[in-house]
Parts: sequence; structure tokens; C-alpha cells
Amino acid sequence: MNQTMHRYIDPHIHLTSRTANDLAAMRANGIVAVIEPAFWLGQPRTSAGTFRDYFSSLVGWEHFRAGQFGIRHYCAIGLNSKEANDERLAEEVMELLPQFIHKENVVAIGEIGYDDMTPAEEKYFRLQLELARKHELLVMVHTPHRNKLKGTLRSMALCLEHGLEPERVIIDHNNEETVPHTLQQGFWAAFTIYPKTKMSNERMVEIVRRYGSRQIIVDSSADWGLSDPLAVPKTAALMRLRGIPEADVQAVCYGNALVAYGQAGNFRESDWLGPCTVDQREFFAGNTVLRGQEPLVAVLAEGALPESACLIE
Amino acid sequence: MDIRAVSRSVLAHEFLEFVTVRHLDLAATAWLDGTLRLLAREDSPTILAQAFDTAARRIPVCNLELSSTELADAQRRRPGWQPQHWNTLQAARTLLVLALRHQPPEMYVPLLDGLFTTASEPGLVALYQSLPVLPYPAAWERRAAEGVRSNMTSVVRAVALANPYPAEALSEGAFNQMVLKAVFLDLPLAEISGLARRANSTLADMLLDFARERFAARRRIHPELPEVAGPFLSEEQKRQLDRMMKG
Repeated sequence: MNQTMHRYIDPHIHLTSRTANDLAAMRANGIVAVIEPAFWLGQPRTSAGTFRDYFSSLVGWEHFRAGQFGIRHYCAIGLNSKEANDERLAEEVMELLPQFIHKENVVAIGEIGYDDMTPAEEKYFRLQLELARKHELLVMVHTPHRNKLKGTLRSMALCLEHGLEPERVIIDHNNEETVPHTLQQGFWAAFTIYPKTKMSNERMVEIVRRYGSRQIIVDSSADWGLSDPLAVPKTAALMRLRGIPEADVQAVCYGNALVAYGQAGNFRESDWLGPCTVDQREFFAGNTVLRGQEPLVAVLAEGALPESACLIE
Repeated sequence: MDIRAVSRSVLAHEFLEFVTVRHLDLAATAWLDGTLRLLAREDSPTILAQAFDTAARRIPVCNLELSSTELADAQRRRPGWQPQHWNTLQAARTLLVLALRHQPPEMYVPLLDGLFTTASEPGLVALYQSLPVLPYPAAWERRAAEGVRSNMTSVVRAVALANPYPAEALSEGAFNQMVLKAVFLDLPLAEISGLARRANSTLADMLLDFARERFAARRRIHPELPEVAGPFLSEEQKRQLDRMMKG
């Protein structure tokens, strides 16, 4: 990999809905680590088994798949706000959570919070905040896209009510209205760069210009909708173009995510900076250490994937 | 009850405890010791499942660094067992799983099933690696065949390579699928235990077909393929394969 290339973390992306092409492009553009929070799949699930298999994919197949492209994959596990509204199912999912929250690549409970701000959503939001407090886990909070300011303020109030430290909670999908409150209360303020419906690149530049980089994190939340898995590196590029100091760019596109989620203990720079030498057979970035082939990224730069990489039947 | 399998589990447990603990600091040793004793007392699937997960935080990971004497000892305890690539976390997880080995199959098999179902990628690798030393060997056949179907190459390797279990337990069809997948993934066939013993003419035919497919696509044919298929091919087939290998 080009030594002077910038490194990025995308701490909120739904890789389950993204293709291998996206993964290749992400890696080629400097994304070294991602966090994939548990969410819904576009329409309501109807049985707990599908949640179990989905959580299983976050700690198994998605983790492996991203690894084939040299991207270290982490995840958050939780019952999302939309599906919390099916209370019968929600009860079953709550039973499943302890079976996944301690897995190797799980860094937080998430993404949880409010969607419409119903009593059911609040009930399971609170129960999961309790789970996070009990097991000393970080929390990734999804703030509603409607009634956002009220929802964000209420989300933060609940976190504090349940005894969570603000620096151990990441409030996502902030905007110009919510950010002063999120920052002032000591929470991490993440912003989702998602065309049209959430934050835009240009607006993000101005937020950093105004507030600096402290406590601010940029992510893509790229999913099956019209979204961009390269949102983080593109935002960084725009910031540089618009004269944002380099230290701030690196903080919001890499360093702050590392500090925030690094508190989990299993989200470490050493995971992606050097090759893993513990097990010679480890399969990462499309080749084994033993086979000693050309690094995948070098080949990606030439525009072709090596034949033996990412073989899927 | 398979007496041989039971004694293998005991002997493996003893071996793993010795070769693992020497790599652990006091905190890790205390955790492992305490957890194994708790499991022996409580017999609890929930405690096992949680310990299996949290072991990743408690056990510092490094290769077991087994000497050739120790590897020979492993073979004596469990013929065909090749833990040379195992790390401390995999060994610790195997110890945790073996802690409940005295349970009857109607309890033990669902317990392991539960672990397989919710396992992370590293967890699956540890479980499939441990198959040769688990009690009730016949119970894991379906799982092993499923492991071969995995899209996660690390998992396929854990089943197929340096593992005596598939050659002993898989049906001919399932074993053949494993070899074919290994060829497809460019894995080292020499590391498939019992391959020479279990190779058969159906497998040879499948491999020859696959070689023809690769040749037609002008793609590399696995260099170890002729050795596996050869003994079952006719002279004419062998000549054809030879020509294709030479490109």
C-alpha cells in the first residue's frame, strides 16, 4: 500500500447490503476498518431466528468478507428501534443479545434508539442501555430522522438516566441543530454523510470549521439505499480542499473513531496496521501469509482482482 | 458409548492443559482454571457459551509452539491429531468444550450445536479444529460437511486440513466434496489427512472433469490433482491429464 495514503475508519456502514465492488473501492481509497451496527433489513423480520442468523453473519461472514479485501470488520449488536415495535419478537431478541455481545469483533450495543418515539421503542431502548451498563459496553445511538432534535435530546437524557458515561456513547446522525447539544453534553457526535436525507459533504465541512474536530466523527451509514460507501474519504478530500486543518480532517475521519470505539478494548490500530503473524494460515486481504503473494491493494491499484482472491463458490 | 473417543478426549484435555498454560500469565491461568472448575461443578451450557466468547478477552493469543516430541505425543494420545498450528485461544476454547465431555450425548450434542450456530468466525475455526478430540464422533458428521460448504475459507481449512476427522467420519460423497472444494480453493491437498486412503474412482472422475474445465478456460490446474486422481484413472485418462498439466 502506498505509504503516504491516508487511512480512514467508517464507523457506521451496513456492509450486508453492499457488494464486493464496494469493498474493493473502499480499500483502494484508504478505509482500513469499519463498524457495522445491527439494523433492520428493509422490511420487518417476523421471527427471532432471522435475527439470530443476522447477528451470526455480523460476527462471521461479513467479518470474513471484509477481511478478504483487507478491511478489518467490527460490529455492534442490538435490537433496532424499528423492530422494537414488535414486542413479542422484541422479547425473544433480548434473549439472544447476550449470546452475541461478547464476540471478538463486537464493539458496542447498537444501533439502538428511537424511530417514531413509541412506548415500545423506549422500553427496549432502556433495556438495552441497562444491558450496556451491566456489561460495560459502548452504545451507538441512532437518532430519529423525524423529530430529530427532540429525539436526540431525549436519547441523551435516557443514557444519562441509566448511568452511562457520555464519553462511552456515540450519538449518530447529528445535524446542525443537534450538534451543539450533543457536544455540550459530552457525547461523541457522529455525522452520517448520506445524500439528500441526512448530512452532506459541504455542510459537514462547515460544521467542522465552526466546531473544530473535538468529539466529532464522520460516517457513511451506507446501506441498500442511495448512499456512498466512500463518503468518509470523499468528505476528507473535500475538507482538505476547503482548507480544514489536516489534524482536524484526520481526527474526524479516523482518530476520533479510534478513540471512541477503542474504549471497547477490542478495536485497536494494531489490528489493521500490521499483518497478523500469530497463525500463519490466517486468510486476510485475499492471500495467506504463507503464500506470500502480491498484496491485494497493489493489485487493486492496477484495476484487477487476483484470481485466487475472494474465491466464493 | 465409544470408549476410544472418551479416552481420546481425556488424553487430549490433559495435553492441551499442559501446553497452553505455559504461555499464559497469572491472570489468564487463574481465569482458565477457575472457569474449568466452575464448568465441572455447574455443568452449565450458559456458562460454557459465555466463557467460550469471553475467552478471547482473557487468553493472550500466541501459537502453542509445540516441539516435535510434543507433536509425537499428541499423535500417540489421538492418532492423526496435528495441533501444530493451534494457538492458545483455540486450545483454551477446546478445553472449555471438553470440560462438559462427560455429559450424555442427548445433552452434549445440542450444547455443541448451540455453540456452532452462534459462533463467530474464529469461534467456528476453533470448533471445527477440535472435532478430532470431541466425544461422540459420529454426532458431528453433518456439521463437518456443513463446514466444508462455508464461504469462509478459514473455516473450510479448519475442517479439511491437518484434521483426521473428515477421513474418519464423512461419507464418500461428503469427503469427495471436501476434496473438490480444496482443489477449487487452491488449498494444499497434501495436508488433507487420509486422502490417499479415502480417494476413490468417483472422486478421480470429478477431478478429471474439473481439470478439463480448467484446461478449457486456460486456467491453472491444481498441481497435486494428478497424484490424487492418478491411481484410479485409465492409461488414456492419465495421458490426457498429463497433456493438460503440461499446458
